[in-house]
Amino acid sequence: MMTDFRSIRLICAAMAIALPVFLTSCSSSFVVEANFPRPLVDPLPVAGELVLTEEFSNYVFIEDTETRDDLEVDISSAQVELFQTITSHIFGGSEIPENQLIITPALVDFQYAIPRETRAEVYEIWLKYRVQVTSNDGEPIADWLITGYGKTPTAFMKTRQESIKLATTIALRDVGSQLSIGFGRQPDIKAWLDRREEQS
Amino acid sequence: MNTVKHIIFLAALGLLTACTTVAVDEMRWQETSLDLARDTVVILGRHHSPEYETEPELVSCIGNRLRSNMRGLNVIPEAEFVDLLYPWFEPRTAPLTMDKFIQVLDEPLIRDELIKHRVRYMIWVEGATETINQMGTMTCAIGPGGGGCFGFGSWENQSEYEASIWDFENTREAGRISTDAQGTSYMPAIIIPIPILARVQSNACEGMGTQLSAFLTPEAS
Repeated sequence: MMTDFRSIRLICAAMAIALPVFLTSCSSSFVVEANFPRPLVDPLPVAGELVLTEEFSNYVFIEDTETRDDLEVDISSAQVELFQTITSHIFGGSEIPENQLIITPALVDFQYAIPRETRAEVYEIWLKYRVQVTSNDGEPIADWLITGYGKTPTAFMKTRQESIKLATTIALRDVGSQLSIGFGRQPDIKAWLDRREEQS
Repeated sequence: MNTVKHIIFLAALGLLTACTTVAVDEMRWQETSLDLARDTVVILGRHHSPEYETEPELVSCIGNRLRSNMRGLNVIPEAEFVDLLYPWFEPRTAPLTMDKFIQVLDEPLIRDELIKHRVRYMIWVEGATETINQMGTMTCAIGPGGGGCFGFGSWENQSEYEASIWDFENTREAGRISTDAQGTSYMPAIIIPIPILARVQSNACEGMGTQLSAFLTPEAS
């Protein structure tokens, strides 16, 4: 009889230890931290100032739909780092105040897909940014939507968290590549740059 | 004595590997030469396809194999190279054909960076390893008196990779090497599951690495 009680106590203890593990296995919360290389592009002959809103600097994606596992992805520091790195290298600077651009980014959509949903052996992330560009005196120049995509293959011993972090970093790099290569080519910005060149 | 026997038995089980078949094909369109003291090689995985992703571990494995086969060869790691040339070799922007690469080289900043790092050959690896067939069942149970598994499972893995070798100096594609590997892994379980794994991806890497070494320095082989 004594043995039976011991067994029951042992099972209860094991369950007490295991329960939090099972409860947390379906939810995860993590911070994406990343450094981005300087873009290898010729700087534009204008100055640029990056304006980061409170919402942008503190953005956390929260998945709370009933059909999916809980997920919290804090990409605030990574996206701030990305936009700061890119904008500090794509503008060559200018002495003329009229040659200054104000860049205000906003993350308008964060989407993800996991292998269980797509049956593909990859984790996928989509990030959609709205980049508003105005002149020094507040005149709107461009309202540019950039979608970044990142994916990472499933791998033995790699957790869902690690995979989503990596896919998010790849998606952010994709946004950075479009921003650094495409900024001077974006039609509205290009038209403004051409006008500035004609006037100077 | 019995403990020693058990340890040897368990170690022997751990070393069991299943068979893998590997086929390597080579196509050469121009002569190659490599100055091991000067030239560098970069191996990059293709990441543009929505259906699969060339595994970074495979790319890194081929690089390690080249380094060990060709002592003194400088192979720039993929992550370091794409950072050096950011944003021109990202999944969206990387040139998919030699013609596109020639267009990219019109950008002096990129050309200068490649010259600075003495890049002679750029090797693009495309493909993936996939599980194509799974069979069997296994049941595991745990209770107060202990636990264990019983059953048998097997799965078949297939690797298909193609490496395209671009000669930066002559701005031409020097050739292609393809590797197909296939193998079935088994996992019988009588209390303890015993994995007998087919090293499909690592055998594909070995085949690709050995053939690439011979391709880049034909005089040495």
